[in-house]
Amino acid sequence: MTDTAAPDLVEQARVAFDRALKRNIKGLGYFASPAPVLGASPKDVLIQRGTMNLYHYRPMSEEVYRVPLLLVMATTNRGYIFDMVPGQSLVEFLLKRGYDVFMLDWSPPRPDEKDLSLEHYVLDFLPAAIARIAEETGEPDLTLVGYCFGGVLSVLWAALHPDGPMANLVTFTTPIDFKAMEMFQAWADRRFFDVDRLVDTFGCCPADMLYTSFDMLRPAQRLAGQIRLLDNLWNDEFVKSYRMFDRWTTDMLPLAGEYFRQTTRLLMWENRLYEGTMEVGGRQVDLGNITAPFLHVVAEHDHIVPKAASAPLIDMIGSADKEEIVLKGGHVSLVAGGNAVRRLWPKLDDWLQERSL
Amino acid sequence: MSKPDPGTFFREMLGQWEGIANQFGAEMMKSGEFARTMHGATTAGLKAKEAAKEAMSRALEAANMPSREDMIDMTARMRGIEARLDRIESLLAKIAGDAQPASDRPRPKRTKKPPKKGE
Repeated sequence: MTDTAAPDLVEQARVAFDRALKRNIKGLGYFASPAPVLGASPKDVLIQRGTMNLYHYRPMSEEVYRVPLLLVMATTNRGYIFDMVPGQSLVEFLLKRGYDVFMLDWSPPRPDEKDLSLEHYVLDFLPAAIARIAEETGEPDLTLVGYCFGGVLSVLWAALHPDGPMANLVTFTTPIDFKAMEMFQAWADRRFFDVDRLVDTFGCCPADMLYTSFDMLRPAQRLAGQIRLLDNLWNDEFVKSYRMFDRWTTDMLPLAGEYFRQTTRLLMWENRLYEGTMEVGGRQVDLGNITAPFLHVVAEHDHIVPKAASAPLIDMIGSADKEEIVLKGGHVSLVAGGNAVRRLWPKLDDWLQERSL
Repeated sequence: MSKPDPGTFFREMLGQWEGIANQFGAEMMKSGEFARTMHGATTAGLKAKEAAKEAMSRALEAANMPSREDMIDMTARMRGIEARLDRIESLLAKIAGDAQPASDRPRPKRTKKPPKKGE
C-alpha cells in the first residue's frame, strides 16, 4: 500500500503545482486580455427603431427551409445569448441546419421611451418585425421562438392573431403562472412595493435594480462562481465560458417604465395570463386561440422561472399538435452552453424540420 | 482505494456551502419582513431622488435652462419626426419600385427538405 501511495502523492503535488503556476500566468492574462467577442454571426439589421432591433442572419447553407424562423428575445437581456461564439451559438447551429434565422432583439429603452407599454411590444414591435420578415423572404408564415419573457410576448401576439401568419410556436422557459415565481412574488408584494413611485421617479426601471433582483435569487452564486474561476484559471475552456456567461448575465437592460408597471400589476400581482383575464390594447387574450403546432420547453432546475410557473402553459394552448419537454438545466444553460448543444438544440431541430416545409 | 485529494474535497465543500447558503438566503428573502425592509430602503432612496430632482428642476428653471424632462420631450418629438421620415422614405421607395430586399446577396433556395433518418 505504501508503495503506491508515494507516487500518487507526488503526482498530485505535480498537478497542483502545475495548475498553481498556470493560474498565476493565466490570471495575469485574464485581466490583460479583452472579453470574447459575442454575437458576431454575420447579420443585416432590418429594423432599428428605438429599443427595437430586427436582425437577419446570413444563411450558411445553399438551401434553406421554406418557413423563416424568428427568435424573440426577453426584454431584460441581450439577444447574444443565442449567438455566443462559433460552436456555441444557437443561431449558427440553426443556420448550418438550413433555417433562415431572424432575431427580435432589444436595446436599452431611451428616456423618451419610458411610456412604451405592453401594447407597443405586442401590437406594434412584433407585428412590424413579422411584416418585415414577410417582405424580406416573400413567405406568408413563420416560426416564432420566444425565450423567457420573449415567450410571453410571442404567446400574447399569437393569441390575438389566431389567423395570423404563424406556422409554429416554440417557447423556452416561458412563465405563465406568475404566482409560482415565489421569490419575485415576495419582492413584488404590493403591500410594500410601490411600483408607481419607482416608475414615476426613474422613468425606466434601471438595469442595475433588475440585475440585483436576479442576483439575489441565488445569493451565494456570485461568490462561489468567483472562487471556482480562481480554482480553474489554468483551464482555458472554463475561463472562456465563465467570461461569456458572466458578461451576458451582467449586461442587463432597463425596462420601459410603463411596460414594467403593467407587467408588475397585470402579471405579478393579478396573474391575469394564468387566470384568463389578460387584455392587451382592450382585447381579451385567449390562449386557446393558438392552434399552430406548439413546442414548450421547460428547464428542470430553473431558478428564475421555476417549472411550476412555466408548466401550465401546455394545457392552456389550443393546438392539437403540441408537445412539452422538460430538459435538465437551468434558465440559461437550457439555451446556451455545453448542455444546450447536446440537449435542446438537436431536439429543436428535430421538431422543426417537418414543420418548416 | 484512491487517495484523498484536498482539491476535490474543497470543491465539494464549496458546492455544499453554495447550496446551503442559497437555500438559507432564499428562505430569508421570501419573508414579508425582508420585503418590507428592502422596499423601505428603496422608497427612502426614491424620496431622496425625487427631492433632488425637484430642486434641480427649480434651479434649471431659474437659470432659464431646459430640464431633463424638457430634453426627454424634445427627444420624443424628434423620434416622432424620424418615424414619420422613415414612413415617407419607405413609401417613396415603394412608389419608385425600389422595394428591394436589404441586401443584394444571392439568396438560398427555400426548398430544403429534412434529412432522411440516419443521415
